[in-house]
Order: sequence, then C-alpha cells, then structure tokens
Amino acid sequence: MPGLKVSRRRFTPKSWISGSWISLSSKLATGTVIAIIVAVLLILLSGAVSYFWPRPIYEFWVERSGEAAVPVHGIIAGKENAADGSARLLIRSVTAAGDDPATPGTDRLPAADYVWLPETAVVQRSRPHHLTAMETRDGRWHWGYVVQLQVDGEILAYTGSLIDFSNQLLAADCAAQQHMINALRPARVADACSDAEFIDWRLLFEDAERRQVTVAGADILQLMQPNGAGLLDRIASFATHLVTFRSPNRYAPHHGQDIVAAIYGTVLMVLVMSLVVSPLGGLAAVYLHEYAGRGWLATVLRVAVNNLAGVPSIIYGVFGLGFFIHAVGGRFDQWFFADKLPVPTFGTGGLLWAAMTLALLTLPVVIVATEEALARIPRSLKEGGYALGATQSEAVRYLLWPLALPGLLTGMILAVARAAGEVAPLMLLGVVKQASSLPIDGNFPFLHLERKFMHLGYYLYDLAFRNTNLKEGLGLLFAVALLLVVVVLVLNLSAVFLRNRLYDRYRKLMS
Amino acid sequence: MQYYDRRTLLQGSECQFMTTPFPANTLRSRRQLKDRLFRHVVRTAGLAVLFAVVLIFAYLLFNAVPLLFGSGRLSLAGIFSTTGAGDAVWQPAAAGGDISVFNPRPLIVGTLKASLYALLFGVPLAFMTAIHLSYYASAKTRRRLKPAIEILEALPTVVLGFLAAVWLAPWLMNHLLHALMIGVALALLPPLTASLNIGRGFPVGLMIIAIPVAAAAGFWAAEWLESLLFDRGVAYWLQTNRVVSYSMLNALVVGAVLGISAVPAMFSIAEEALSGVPRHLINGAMAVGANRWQTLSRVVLPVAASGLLAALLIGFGRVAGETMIVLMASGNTPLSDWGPFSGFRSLSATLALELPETSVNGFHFQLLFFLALLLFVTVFILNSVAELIRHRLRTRYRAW
Repeated sequence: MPGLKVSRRRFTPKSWISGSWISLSSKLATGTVIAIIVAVLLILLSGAVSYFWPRPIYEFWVERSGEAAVPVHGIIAGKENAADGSARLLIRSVTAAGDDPATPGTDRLPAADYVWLPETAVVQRSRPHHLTAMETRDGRWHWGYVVQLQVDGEILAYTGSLIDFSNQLLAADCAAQQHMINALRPARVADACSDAEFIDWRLLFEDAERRQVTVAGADILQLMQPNGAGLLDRIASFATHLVTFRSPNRYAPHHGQDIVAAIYGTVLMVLVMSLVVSPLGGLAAVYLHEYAGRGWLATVLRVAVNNLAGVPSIIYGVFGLGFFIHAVGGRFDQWFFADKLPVPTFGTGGLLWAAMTLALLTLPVVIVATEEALARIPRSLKEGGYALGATQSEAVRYLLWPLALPGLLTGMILAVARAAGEVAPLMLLGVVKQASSLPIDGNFPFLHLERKFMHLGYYLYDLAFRNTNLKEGLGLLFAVALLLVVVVLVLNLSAVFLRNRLYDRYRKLMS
Repeated sequence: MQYYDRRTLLQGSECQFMTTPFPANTLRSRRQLKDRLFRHVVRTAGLAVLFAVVLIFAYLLFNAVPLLFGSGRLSLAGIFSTTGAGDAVWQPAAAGGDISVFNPRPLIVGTLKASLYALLFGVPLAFMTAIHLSYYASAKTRRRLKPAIEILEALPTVVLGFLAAVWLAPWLMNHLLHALMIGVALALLPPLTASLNIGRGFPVGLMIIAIPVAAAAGFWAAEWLESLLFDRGVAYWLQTNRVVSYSMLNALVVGAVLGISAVPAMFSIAEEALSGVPRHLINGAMAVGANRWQTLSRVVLPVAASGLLAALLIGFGRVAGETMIVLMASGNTPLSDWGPFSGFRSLSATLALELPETSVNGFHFQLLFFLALLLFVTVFILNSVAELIRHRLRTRYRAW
C-alpha cells in the first residue's frame, strides 16, 4: 500500500522513555491532586479534633536563675526551636508573672494566659492523675489540686479522685451529685435523681503556687482530671464539647452563640435565596429546553447562562451593592420608609439583598441541572401526551415537570452548597461579624429581611483576620472551617446521590 | 413498555404538530388560553435571566461612565500612566480626599501576578490529571477519581484561603527549602520509576503511597541541607543578606492554593476535550504502529489542543476573579513587582475591602465600579472565547 509506512523501530529508547515519563508524570499529577484533597481534609479534621479533645495537664518544675524549682501547671500549646538549638514551650498556665495576682481575702485566682517556658528551665515534668482543671462561671481556667471537699459545711474524706468524690456525693445528695457529674463528664448524665434538693457543696482548690481558694459548687462550670481519665471519658468529653462547640482547653465565651447565629444567618439567607431562585431557574430551564428552540434568542440566552456561571462572585457583590442596595433599596426607603431617613432601612446591606444577589449567582447552577434533567426525559413521553391531545403546556406541566423536579432539587442543593460557601459578594451586602439581633424574632413582622446577618464563611474569614494571637484561636478556626466544609460536602454528596437516583429512574423509563 | 416502535416515529421529519401542537386559529378554549399564559410566563422567566446578565453589564457601565466621560477628572491615559514609577500608587486615604492617590496599575499587576503564579501551579496539575484520566487510566479508575476532584470544586474558597493564610504561609516561611526539595523529589519520581522499568504496572494507588514517601525524602534532604548551609532557614537568610525581602503572605502561597482551587474547572474542560477525541483516530494511530506516547503526542494532543486552550482561558478567568484566597493570603499590599516572595493586592480583593467604605458616587466609588467593569469584561471575553472554542471543537468531533 502506498503511503502507509510502518516504522520498524517502534520502540526506540527515546520514545519509550519519554512515553513512560509522561505516563508516570500524569499519574503523579493525578496522585498529587488526590493527595492534596486528602491532605486538606485531614488538616482540617486534625485541627478541629485537637480543639475539642481534652489535652493532658502537665506539672512542670521550673528552675529560674538559681532559685529553687517551683511548680507550674498548664497545657502545652506549642513548641518553638530557637536558632541556638534551644527549645521553648508555649504553655497556657497561671503564673506569678500574671498581671492579675490573687488578692487575699477575695476568692479569686489569676487568669490563665500563655507563657513561654525555656525547655532548659524545666527540671522535671509529669502528668499527675489528680491534677484538676477547673472552669468557673466567670470564664476562667484554673489548674491545681482539689484539697478539700465540703458538703453543707461538713468536710468529706477525699482520695483525690473526682469520680470517687461524685460517688460520695451520691450518698449525700442527688442533685449535687448530678451537678458534679455534669461538671465532670457532661455527656454521661444519668437522670436518676428525682426530688433532690440543692445542698451547698464547696471545694478548696489549691493552685501551683499554693494559693488556696474556696469555690462554691454553683460557680463551677467544669471540673476535669484529663490525666486520669480513660479513653471513654475522653471521647465523652470530646463529644460534649463538639456538640456545644466549646474547647475543653480554653475559654471562648461567645463563640458558641456566635456560631449558632452564623449558622442561623446562613440557613435563613439560603432559604430566602431558594425562594427566589427555584421558580426563576426552573421556568428558565423549561423555556430553554422546551420553548426557545434553536433561534438566535436561544443561543444568546445559552451564552448568557454560561457566562453568568463564569462571572467572578465579587462582581455579583459589586452589582448587588450598586443595584439592589443603592438603586432599588434607596428607592424603597424613599417610598415606604421616608420617615426613618436619613437612616436607611433597605438602602443598606441586609438579608434580602444578599439573598437576591446570591440567587442571581446560583441561577446558572439551577438552570443547568434542571435542563439536564429535562434533556434526559425520553421524547416519547411528551409525544405520547401530544398524541392524546395535550397542549404543550399540559405536556410540560403534567408529563415533563414531575420527572424534572428532582433535577431542579439537585440544582437547588448544589446552589445552596455554593451559596453557603460563598463569602466575597456578601462582604459588600451586609454580612457582619457580630449581629446585634437575629433576622427572625418575636417582634412583628417576625422575619426582618432588612437586617444585617452573620454568615459561617464570613465568620471564618473574620476570625482568621482578627486573630492577632493565632495560638489562641487556631483550633476554633479549624473547627469552624471543618463545619463549613462538612455542610457543603454533605449538600454536594446528597445532590450527587439524588442525581444518580434520577438517572436510574429515566433508564427504567426508557426500557 | 413499548406500544409502538419509537424509531419509526422519530425517524421521519419532525411533524409540525410536535412543535406547535395546535394550529393558531382553532377555537380559543380555556385550555389554550392556559397554554398561552404558561408560554408567556416561561418566556418571561427566560427573558428575565437574559435581562439580568445585560443588567449587570449595563449597571457597572452606568456607574463607571461618569468617570470616563463626565467632568473629566481623570482620563484613562492618566489612570494607567506608567511614566513615573512613583506615580503608580494605589493609596486611598480614609478621610480627606486630597492625599488619596489612585492609580490602579498595582492592582492590575497584582491580579495578573496572582493569575500567573496560580496558572503555573494549576495548569500542569490539571492538564496532566486530565491526560491521565482520559487517556491512560482505566474506566474504573476514572469513575472513582472524578468525584474526588469534584470534592475539590465544592470546597469553599474561604476555607482554602484560611488554610493558605494560617497554615501554609507560616509553614512555608520556615520551610522554604523543604518545599523546594519536596518539589524536586516529586519531580524526580517519574524519571526514577521510568528508569527502574516499572512504568506500566504502577497504579495511581501506589502513587498515593509513593508521593508521601518522596515528599518525606525531600523534607529530610532539606533538613540536612539547611543544617549544612543555613543556620536559621532560607527565608531568614534571604532577608538578612538583602537578596530579596520575604513577606509571609506572598505570591507563592497564593499561587499554590489559587492554582489548586482552579484545578477542577480546568480539569473538567481539558478532560472533556481529551476524551472526546474520536476513538478511530487513536485506533488508527495505534494500528500503524505508534506506541501510546506517540499516539498521545502526535494525535490526541494536537487534536484536542484547542480544548486545552479553552481550559486555560477558563482557568485564567477563574483565578483572575477569585477573591477570598487572594484576599486572605496575599497581604493586600499594592505593590507593582512580580517577585514570588512579595505580597500584592488584586482587583477583586480591593473591591471587597474598599467598596463598602467609600462614599456613594464619589470618585473612588466610580473608579472601583470601573475596575469591576474591567474585571467583568475581561472574564466575560475569556469565557466567551473559551465557550466558542469548545463549541467548535465539539462540532469538529461530531463531524469526524
């Protein structure tokens, strides 16, 4: 055959090596991408877990320049290697150097803070089983030993173990014991007590520098002996702190409420957005697939939808700020809220405008998913409808729409996932780091669409930016990031699941 | 359940009654009125979407126009003047407009710089992954790994930005040499395994084990090298010897994370183009004796090249407009230099930071709208061109 040349040297070393190289490089790239995904998830997970996991408390014996060694109690928060090879530990502790010394006569201990401890100064370190971490109602953490226990002024025999103490309390009083157990291991509260009356229990607490204070049981939030705790107790403590979004190792007064408010704001915004985007996206998809045909309008619309998907999200924010807030919202204020001017009502960032803008942003997602579902419905179905005399709208509404509805739902889930993770446009549209009031409350009209709101993604951004002391907030950041990722991934996976179910259904319909 | 042969029904030319089931001049029954109404509602929705896109463009333009054709406070040439390096400064003052200097050049340079570094990281990863999954990998591997890459797509960028700023940036500052050595070790992996003649049966699963091993080897090599050459790390050495100033939040950090965030978008388009290459072309090449590498380099890649270009354009549009990663990890200093170790400030980050605090319809406000318009138009053109390329490629594939 003329023209067809079969090379005799098919496997030249050069081509083989380069071929093998590209094959392996492409494998390497794939592996790297997968490894990066796994690494990101693992980093988030480990950071978040370490935030909620009770860490051991150490007793350091520290020798400072010739003086006798003194004990220091604390949690190791980090370690740093200096240039000269010496290491220093960052510990969270109460030391004499703290600027809040205990005043005699008042029952207060100094607040915990982070201190650097040169490793050479640490003569000895240990993890005594009965070393106790105490969180009091004023939000302070203390580390030390429980020296003495009193119930109704009577001193109990005490072995040092809190569990032992809680058992003793059971004999004395059920409610006090329950409080104790609550403080000890909040996950394992048994509702065994019935008509117990409150009795006064106190404990004498001694910190590393032998300062003693008497603390009333009612003032104690948590008592922990993490060094002596078994694995089950640690897991229980972890689970409790995970649910309440509090760390067992540090004090974070408002974060729990803030996170609830942020989740609340995110969910509400996404709901309002869904109300706007689902009818619009669904109908637009029906138009594109059933009515638009192949004319120039359809082409333009398709190009528009595709491009809408590619527009950077910040551009939506700019548009929302200019159009919704200043133009539309400003008019709204002039017409309906003129008495409140110059204080803007709708003329400033708020829930409604954020939801509207994100509806615009997620519109392509919904349209594409719905249209895909419509395209997969067998034509025979519609044709059968026509054959029976249905009008086009009847065929669409009664035959196609019920089948395309899961497609719309898939699109909605994807849109919600996208909106939950989107932060950039919201920064221009009224998201705040700390909302004074929630968008839903008991006052008429209950749903306040003009209010500013909190958002989980923005909360993460704000924490990451605001935190000057990264050591303090890093765990919380990881926890919030993981929460956001989990929400988004669960939504995405459910969308994928739904889509697969839908396709199975069409396949059955076709056979 | 089939009551008729669908094929015969579909084969004939599309009957008139299928597209418009009823002639327009029949009796107007209630049902037909409903039909019309529904059609109008649906069309309105479709047009509303179109209207929204036009509105975005028109509104940005509307707000930026006074700046360009208004009282003439600044001309375009003035804004983008590159004459004196000292003039190219973006310095909006918080109060008192007199000392504000607005020259968006540093912002544009910052955006391009972020895009450049991101594409440097992202394009090889995305394209190589696409080549592997569409050309080398088995159908099973493809089915398993594609959803994993979609997970990356779903990750919120604020989380990636947080990891870049809080985790990667401090690590990189102390482990610059380590990062370099890990890269070298990974780059050595393919030729090493190729020369060991275990190329064929080397599954991706094994690669996932090999990557951490190679990374660890690179890390230890760097530990050793650093203890040998530098006593306090490379970043410190660079700083003290005035070679280059190293800022913790820099283009390298942004580039790596931004590039990774753009991988799924580029991957899916590149993969679509590569796996769409007609089977008979590949089979033909194989039949005349080309091996897999020759088939890939002489047939598959040239045929799908325009699709890869489309992926590149989409990726560029994606990273140029991305906000959160750049905002959190770039340091937001408006500098006009291209070095990998310095921070920068991008257009998108500037919009997010400054627009909420400017006075409405002031000069600064209008300028920011103009910059938004610039970004929008750029990305719009990139996406449109990419879409056109993809469309033509699909048509060509169908024709083959």
